[in-house]
Amino acid sequence: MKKWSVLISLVMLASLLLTACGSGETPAGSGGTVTLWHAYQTGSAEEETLAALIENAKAAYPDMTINVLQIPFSEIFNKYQTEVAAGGGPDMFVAPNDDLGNWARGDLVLALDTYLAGKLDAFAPVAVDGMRVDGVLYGVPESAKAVALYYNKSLIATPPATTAELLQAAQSGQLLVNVQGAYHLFGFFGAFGGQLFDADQRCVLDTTGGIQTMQYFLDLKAAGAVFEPDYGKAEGLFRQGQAAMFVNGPWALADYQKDLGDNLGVAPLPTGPNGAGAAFNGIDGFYINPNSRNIDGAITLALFLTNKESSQIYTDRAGHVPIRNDVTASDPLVAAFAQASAVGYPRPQSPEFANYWAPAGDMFTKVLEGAVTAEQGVRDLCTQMNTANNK
Amino acid sequence: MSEKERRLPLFKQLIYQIILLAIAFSVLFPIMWIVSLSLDPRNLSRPPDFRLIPPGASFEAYRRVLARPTANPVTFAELAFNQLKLAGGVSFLAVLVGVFAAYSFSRFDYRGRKGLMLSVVMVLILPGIATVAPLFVMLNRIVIDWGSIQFNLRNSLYGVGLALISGQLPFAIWNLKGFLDTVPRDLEEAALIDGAGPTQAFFRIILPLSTPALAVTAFLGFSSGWTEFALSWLFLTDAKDFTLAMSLWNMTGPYSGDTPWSAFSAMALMVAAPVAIVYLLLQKYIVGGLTIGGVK
Amino acid sequence: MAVKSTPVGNTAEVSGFRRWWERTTNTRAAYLYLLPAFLVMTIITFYPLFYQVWMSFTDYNIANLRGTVPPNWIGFKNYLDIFQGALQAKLPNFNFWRILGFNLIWTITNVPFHVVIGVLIAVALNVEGLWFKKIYRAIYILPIVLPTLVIATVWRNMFDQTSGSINMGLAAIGGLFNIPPEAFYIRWFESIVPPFSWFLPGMPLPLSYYAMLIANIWLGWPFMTIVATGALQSIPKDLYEAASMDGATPRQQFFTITVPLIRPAMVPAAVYGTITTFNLFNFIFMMSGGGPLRQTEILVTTAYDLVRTQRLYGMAAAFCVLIFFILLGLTLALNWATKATERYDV
Repeated sequence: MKKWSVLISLVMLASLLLTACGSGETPAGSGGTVTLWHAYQTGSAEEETLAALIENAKAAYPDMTINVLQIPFSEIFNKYQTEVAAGGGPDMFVAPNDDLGNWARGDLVLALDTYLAGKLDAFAPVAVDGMRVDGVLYGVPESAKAVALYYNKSLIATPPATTAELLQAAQSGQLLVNVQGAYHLFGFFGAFGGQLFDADQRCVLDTTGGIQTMQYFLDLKAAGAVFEPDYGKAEGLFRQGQAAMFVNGPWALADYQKDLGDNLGVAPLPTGPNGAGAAFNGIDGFYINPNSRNIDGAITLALFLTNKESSQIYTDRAGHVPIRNDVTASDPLVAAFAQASAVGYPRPQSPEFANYWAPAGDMFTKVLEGAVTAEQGVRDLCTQMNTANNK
Repeated sequence: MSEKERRLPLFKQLIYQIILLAIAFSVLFPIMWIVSLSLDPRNLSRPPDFRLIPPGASFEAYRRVLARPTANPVTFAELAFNQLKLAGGVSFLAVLVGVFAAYSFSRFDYRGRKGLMLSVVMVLILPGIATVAPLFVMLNRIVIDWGSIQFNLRNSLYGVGLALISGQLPFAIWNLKGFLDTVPRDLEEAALIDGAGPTQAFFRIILPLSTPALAVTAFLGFSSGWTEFALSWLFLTDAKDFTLAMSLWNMTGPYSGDTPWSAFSAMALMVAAPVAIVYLLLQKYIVGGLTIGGVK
Repeated sequence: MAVKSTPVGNTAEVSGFRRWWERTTNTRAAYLYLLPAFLVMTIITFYPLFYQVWMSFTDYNIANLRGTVPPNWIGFKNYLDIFQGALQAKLPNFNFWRILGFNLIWTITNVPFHVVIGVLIAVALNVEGLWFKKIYRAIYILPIVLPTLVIATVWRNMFDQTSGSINMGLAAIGGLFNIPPEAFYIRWFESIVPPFSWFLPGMPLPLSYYAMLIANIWLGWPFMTIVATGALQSIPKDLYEAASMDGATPRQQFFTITVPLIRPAMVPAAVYGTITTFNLFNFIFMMSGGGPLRQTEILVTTAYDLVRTQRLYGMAAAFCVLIFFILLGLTLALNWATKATERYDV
């Protein structure tokens, strides 16, 4: 008797499990569970926009369960890579294409050419290219991000258009705040003709104007500009009205509009003696995890979050620069960022680029803290990068 | 000799009082600072003035943290409960398993005793980080992947708990052995003469006697597990498993923008409060537990 | 010490096996009691440690995490890379010897402060006839009671350049001497030029080291005070009275009575303090994050960085093996020093 009851319970258990497996099937692509990770700041307009869009998605796809997880920006790349390599991870995540080259080469994001064939016609080619590595498509583009010069109209009526004017403004007491880092400060290299890589991916900053740029920063600092490594502190100075100018990107536009209202202005990075300022132009996109069990669902969600209505909402409420041909920004400030993106320097996806960040960050610290001269700093940077890249 | 405490001459008393007050001020100042930040409704990272009770002080920050501690869909109660499960489970198991080993080290003599004790001490001095990488890799392999049941030991509170036990067990053994060394053997010997076996002696006599030491060791383990964030952060990805200490730490990352200082301070105080209160109430026993364990 | 278990009155009319069984009852009990603990420790501590040694000889990285791709055996390359600074490309400013040196300096400069301040305050609190002793004792315990995460963040905020209370306090004092407040906008955590560059030329000690030193002293002395108080209270008061009757000054009493008698309790506490300070991950990670340009990195923060951000598990494993041997050496040295001081015991 006992043996039978054991057998029966085993059979019941097995059938329970099998039906549990089976019940996950719904019309391909509009059901199941999708887990999305993002790194939008807590309490920011971006985050609220995403939350609203997810609600729309849930209404549009009632069979889909959408889980959203926020990971701080400084952690999200690490965590995603570790999780995917370990066999798990979310179904998809949204982030700038910072390291897309390395992710693609490490099989951490799924190649999407077959899934997205013909679905990305409404997107600007430069945006779609931003999602490609060696010609293979890895993500659905969402918006473009390049830093520009925010300014406070009540403190400075006309923004400086050239580097010389900026230096003058700083000298006359207008506070300029910069985030001291390899990302935010890159845009100024273009103004002095500085080029990061040549055709062989060798660092050529030291021969093309990098040194002049660093010297310019030192001049700015001597004139009173603030170079602050802490993003929150730097931002705070501008948001509380103490700084007249701040170099930052469009993700904070809606928040600054809340703080400064009509006094907020956006101007392109100043042009210099050798060219226009050209910041890194990154493309934010939705990427899919190769380990995902619901690839179709994830793609459906990604396409929904980048369709015409969603993109318009992103633009209007979060200040994102649209990259769809059928969405335009009515806000002139967003249009200013679109301009910055248009002249920006597309992020390279080569493996050599990964070795830019740490040495460059250190270089900015050392030069701006006065530990080494501008010339020494830039030469060291190129030497380090070329050694790390075996060039 | 008189039994009364000798009176201290007044001016000496005053000098001591001034010195001790200054020290108390230095101890209390950061704490007062964080309480002040938590009450500040302006939520500034940089209060422009140097005041203790900010203007318009309110408990708004506490309310906000309790309602929505992080950007993720997990409530404060869930976070606290996860942390409680983790810290409580780990410290309980560490003490439970450790007391037997401590008894063995303390009461018996056998070949290899010194070597085994040494191995415990070796692990004690090793920092937790030394076992993080291999544990991550190992626990990651224990996966149940059967249809809709997906379970990865590493990505669960159990995995984090196992990793934490590896750190707390040696401490429990060491501390409890130190305590058991101070318990006289007469009681056990009497019991043995009366015919009880060593096991009975242990359960009937030693364990009840050791309850304060067990409680203190468990409490020390609990308080270290209560604020553990590094391992949880490395291992967990499901918001449902997140713990209080992790979420507190996430508020202060470099890109957290304006660290919501009042929310952070409020949450920090709420995290610190339970352990602090118990510590203050049980001061005497805990101090006893620390010093006894320390004296080899 | 073995506990006799032979019941009184047993005869010798039992088999040899039975006698052996009874005689070894205790040994068996001893091993049995050890079993659960060592079983757990073997699985989650010893095995990972041995696994780690194996990992340190391979180039284990995230590609091998899933277990489908085995890592390559590279022998001692990881160790050589660490010693010769070939890690520079991945971890700029990485210099193993500087990190080790800083770690040692950090420990050596912290612990004496903790012990000396702790003992002095304990002695002060032990003075007879002192008012409010209980209140002071309760207050002085607070630094240990709060979570390190909170303490580190609060202190970091206090050392902020423009709005930290430390700089504001210094500015207030400077104001009394008509020094403008801007002079006190000290960039504790960002400045990379050491204030005393003539001191230890190979080892820059930036301002963030001093900031953390101050904060860690705040954190460290209460533990020493607690231990010292326990020890002080076990010293019979008659000794002091006899000494003062013999004309000994309080200073002499301190050095001839107090210090030798609290030594047995303070020495283990100091050793414990040394080990924890050497491995003080939480604090350094959260206050300076390794400091400007890695100048305040210690061994454990570098190991964590290797695991978390670089994900070079093989390299991190080699690093951890090195940490283990360094700690072993440190413990042996401490052991020797402890025994050496015991020779001078009363």
